[in-house]
Amino acid sequence: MSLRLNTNYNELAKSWEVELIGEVDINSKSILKDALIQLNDKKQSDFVFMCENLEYIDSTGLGVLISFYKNVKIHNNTVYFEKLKPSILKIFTLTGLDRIFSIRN
Amino acid sequence: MRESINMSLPSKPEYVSIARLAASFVANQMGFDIEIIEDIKLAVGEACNNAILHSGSDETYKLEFINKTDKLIIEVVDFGKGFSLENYKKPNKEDLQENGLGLFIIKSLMDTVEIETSEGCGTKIIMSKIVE
Repeated sequence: MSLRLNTNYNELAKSWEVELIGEVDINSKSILKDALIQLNDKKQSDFVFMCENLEYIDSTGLGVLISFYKNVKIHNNTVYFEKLKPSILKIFTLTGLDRIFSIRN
Repeated sequence: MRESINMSLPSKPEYVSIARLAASFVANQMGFDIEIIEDIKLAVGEACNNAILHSGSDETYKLEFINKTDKLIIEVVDFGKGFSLENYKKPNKEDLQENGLGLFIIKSLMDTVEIETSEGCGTKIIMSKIVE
């Protein structure tokens, strides 16, 4: 399984919605990185990651999210994560990412 | 009882998922519960990432699963340039960086972790998890 992304700009909420489907790992992280840079170039706003179907993320994937977060924060925007699976929420908590990202169900 | 499974993988990102699948399979067969299987899978993925990213070797690395009655031992061995453990810093939660989380995750998820490395002599990560 690799990574699939669905992206959409929500005019009402004024935020990018990014659905992560599959696995973000050493092999697929560059797909995510490139897509996020593109979206942020198109329009700077909040980002909402929809993670219901995110099965796996490793430290290289988290690294992409950390550096992207630093870009988004510069413009005072927020990064949200929705519906993280318990196994992935555990890794966010372990690494302290739950404190920099806004996590909601 | 002691049985082992040996794999040799190309040092390329596209093959790490094979290592993770093997880890899930072995852990499942040994009777670990689903949450622990996810932990073992991630720890193996991180150790393989480490072998690929930091070894400086573009050849292969070795992965071994040892089923020792109540314990799963996993060894990941690369033949690259190794690194100095003294220079390894634990991640700072107040100022997270893009790199450096892998070893921290492995140490957090497994029961024991040993790292044998020296500059020029490759790296060996030995980790274990006890079946409860």
